[in-house]
Amino acid sequence: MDNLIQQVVAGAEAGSYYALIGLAIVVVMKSTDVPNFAQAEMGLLAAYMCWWLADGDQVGWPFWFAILVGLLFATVFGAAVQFFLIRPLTGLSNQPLAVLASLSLGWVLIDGFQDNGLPGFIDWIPGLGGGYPYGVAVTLAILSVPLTYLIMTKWVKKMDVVDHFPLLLLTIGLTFALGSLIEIFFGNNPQKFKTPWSGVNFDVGSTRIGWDQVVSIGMGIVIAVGLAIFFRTKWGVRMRAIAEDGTTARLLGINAGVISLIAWAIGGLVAGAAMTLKAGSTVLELGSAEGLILKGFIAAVLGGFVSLPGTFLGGMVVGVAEAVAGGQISTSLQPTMALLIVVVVLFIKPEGLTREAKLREV
Amino acid sequence: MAQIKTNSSGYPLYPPKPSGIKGQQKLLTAIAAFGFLAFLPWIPIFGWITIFDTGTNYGLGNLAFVFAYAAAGIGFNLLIGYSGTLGLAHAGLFAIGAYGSAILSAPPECLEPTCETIIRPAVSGYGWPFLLTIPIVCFFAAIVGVVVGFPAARLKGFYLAIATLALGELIIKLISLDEKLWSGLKTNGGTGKQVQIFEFFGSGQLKSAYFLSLGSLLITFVGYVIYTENRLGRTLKSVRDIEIATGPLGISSTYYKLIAFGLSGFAAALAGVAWAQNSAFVNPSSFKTRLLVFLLVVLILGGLGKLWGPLIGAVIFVYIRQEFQDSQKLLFFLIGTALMVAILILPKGVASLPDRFNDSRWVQDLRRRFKAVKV
Amino acid sequence: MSSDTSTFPLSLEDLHVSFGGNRVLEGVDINFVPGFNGLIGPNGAGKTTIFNVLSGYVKASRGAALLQGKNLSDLKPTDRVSNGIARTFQSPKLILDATVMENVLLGMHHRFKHGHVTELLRLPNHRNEEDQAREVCMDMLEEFGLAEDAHKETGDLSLGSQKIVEVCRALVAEPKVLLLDEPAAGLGADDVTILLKGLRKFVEEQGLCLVIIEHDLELVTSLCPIIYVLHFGRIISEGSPEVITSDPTVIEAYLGKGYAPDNNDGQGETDAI
Repeated sequence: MDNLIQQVVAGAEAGSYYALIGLAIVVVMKSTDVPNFAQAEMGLLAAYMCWWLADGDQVGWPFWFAILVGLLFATVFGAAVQFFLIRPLTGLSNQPLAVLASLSLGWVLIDGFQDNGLPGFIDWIPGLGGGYPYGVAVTLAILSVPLTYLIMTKWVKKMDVVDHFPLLLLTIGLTFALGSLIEIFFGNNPQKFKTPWSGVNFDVGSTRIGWDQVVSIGMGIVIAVGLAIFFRTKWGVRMRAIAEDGTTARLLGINAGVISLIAWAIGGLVAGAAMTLKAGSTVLELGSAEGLILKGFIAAVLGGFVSLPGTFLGGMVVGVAEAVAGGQISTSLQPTMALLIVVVVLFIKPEGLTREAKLREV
Repeated sequence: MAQIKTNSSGYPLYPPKPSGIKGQQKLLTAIAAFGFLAFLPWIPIFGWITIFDTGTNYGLGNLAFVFAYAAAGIGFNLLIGYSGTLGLAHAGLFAIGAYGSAILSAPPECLEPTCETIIRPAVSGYGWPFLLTIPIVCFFAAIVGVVVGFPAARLKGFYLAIATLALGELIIKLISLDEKLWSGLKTNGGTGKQVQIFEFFGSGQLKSAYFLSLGSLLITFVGYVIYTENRLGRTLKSVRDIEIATGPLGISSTYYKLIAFGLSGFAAALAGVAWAQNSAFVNPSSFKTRLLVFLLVVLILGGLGKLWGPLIGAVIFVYIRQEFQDSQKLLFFLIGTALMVAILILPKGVASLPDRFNDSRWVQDLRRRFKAVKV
Repeated sequence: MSSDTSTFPLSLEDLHVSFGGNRVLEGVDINFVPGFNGLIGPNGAGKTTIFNVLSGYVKASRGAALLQGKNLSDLKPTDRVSNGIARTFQSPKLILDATVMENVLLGMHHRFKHGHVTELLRLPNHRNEEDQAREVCMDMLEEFGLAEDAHKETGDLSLGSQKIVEVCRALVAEPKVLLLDEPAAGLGADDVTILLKGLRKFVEEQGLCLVIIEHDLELVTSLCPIIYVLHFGRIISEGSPEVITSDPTVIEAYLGKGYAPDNNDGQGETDAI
């Protein structure tokens, strides 16, 4: 029987990660109508930042300071992604993207024109073979900047009504790109993120519970409640207005651009917190995000993509169900539990655990 | 000379085609392309690109992968590009083809003492004739595809995507389940199975795999063309573009979405069979979400809704994958960036470049001036 | 209402529709007859809602719609066209990158008999049916002056022509009742003439029952021998053009209180709805 309690606690811990990722997804989705497949990966990047800053062998800052800076990074990064990547596809300006892209490409090309940095499939074009002296390489790279900028501003389409599908694909691409960036910068060895409460356990009856589990679950609840409170503040209400009825909201003077930025910043923060908690409690590794993102979406589905409490509850349900089924019935069942839950829910009650009906429009 | 069909007043029922060779342009291009590809193993024209040098086993294998991915891409195209339905279970259906034919065609368990016990689960199956397993797994996958598509009746766009994504993952997880729960299915759980490679007339394993892949591409290609040029194509387009008007026209959008799901499942499985023959080994990790993303990349880069899109996309994709196989990190970074770039700049893929060229302002101006001069 | 509804091509019996607390249609009773039936009223009166009930997009909260006596709610939305009711939309729902012929062929969908396998194998049955269907569509396009455009991309046509294409698509389905939602909006005078000429032919030769939602009062009054006026979900007037244009409740609905009912000067310009 104590086995069961242990499983429930473990399930609640996992569930809080799912719930938090799910909450981040829902906040972003509700405010900007973008299904962000990269949410977990963005959070992972933040988690790596926290670790890097806090770990004695790396930067080695005081623990709480490192966490603070890391989460700040998460917030800013979230806003940056919205600003540079999402805005072009939502009817707003694509200039920031063009600037960023052309500058980055130029920077990469400096290397490329020098040695054989350019990929093989271009080097048969005369002139792009590489091997230029430094000065020439820099000049060519600088020349490419305005060219790229022009191409991007002329060709990058500003869509007014964007489908979810291209946005989903965009964020899938982002996931991959981010994943490799993390690997490039931080290597592919799993890391142990040491927190003040790592490894400290306590016993309740015959069950052993880790403090890290308690922290995760506790923080999960705190963040969820924090979000609920936020949505009652001035900015929170504006965000809900945009989500409910964008046109009217804009007519009332609510700035959609700023709202989007804030929403993505919040999403980044929540996801970053989730992945950092997970890193502290389990292990920090590259593959963590891949497993979590789908479960985050499942939690969001259970909340109907609309209700925060529903999402939180959904995440918890999945986590606990997984752990209990895995422990009590068969370990093979564990990976499939989440999938089974979402399939069953979508078949029977597509609007999830919410009261709002958001079915297919006729 | 074929008779032009007209109504009683003489108006042509079909779009007038220039007579003779020009009228058959599409057909001839297709025949030329496939003929060319069929002879490629003996005429390594692309030898200067090492990756596609058919003189080597490496090149042959890569091209076979290209065809397999393209075949899967065509099925995917029918579903996402043509009927506009976001069914993301494709990787699972692909896996059914790959695993299915591997399991069914592997030789029955060898119980002799001389057979190595350790690899026994990996190499044993039901021993059915390979060619027979192909239609079996394909029809099975078509049925599974339809089942996967059932949520389409109630879910719109994005929610359907999640549902089908989950279902696809579920399929793959079911394949890799413990033997305990699935005794008799011989999937060998997470370790995977060795594929019994089928040889055509003793032409060697690699050439056989090559032609099998090319064949699967041909079949899906032909199927796609036949269906989309006719009534089904019109109907699928109506489901994609004017779904709200389909009811009053007597078109059940759910029914047609299910058909698209079934057809795409068939194509995915066929491609999976070919892919398995080329890989010689199947295990669940080859079918993770990554595969779905690869298929999406193939589709988007090449061109959603375009006939030659999947093939173009597959060529680009395999090329990039092989070119960067030494540095996996850079590879995935590139794929991720390529996908983002594709969405931002070329949402309709490389295959749409000719159209964009045609539709662009300065080309139209040129044409107008040309016409004025002619007159 | 005790009239024998099975003799009318289309009847609405005490039709009520509510969206949440919003009552969109209240107690609508209409027996449409073969020929041109006008349905007019200010914006938001509920005219398109009636069409949406008939198409099956919207469920009535009370009352029924009867197609030759058959209760429409017994029919699935996709079965209605084979029972003889077709419609067009306010903004044409056409596949823009398909040809005109292909769009019109969609209307033939429920008349096709052969199945998918026949189609895949390109059996003669498929080819024959396809040819016959195309002949029917081409004849229809010819009737409405669009034969030359049959194989052009639909997106290249003007809005007016596109609307006519939609009408053709609806007509090849061989309906007994045709619902037209603002068919003349955006059409030039020539197009309107062609459209009406074609429609009149079907009315005379087949007794087609047309229900036309229109805002152009001049057109409606010259075309439809019987007109129904809808306002806030209720029928406020019905009858011949003369009757409804002199009905004070109608004038009040369109122009507000205080307009003398016998003032006929500005009638032609009262389409500022």
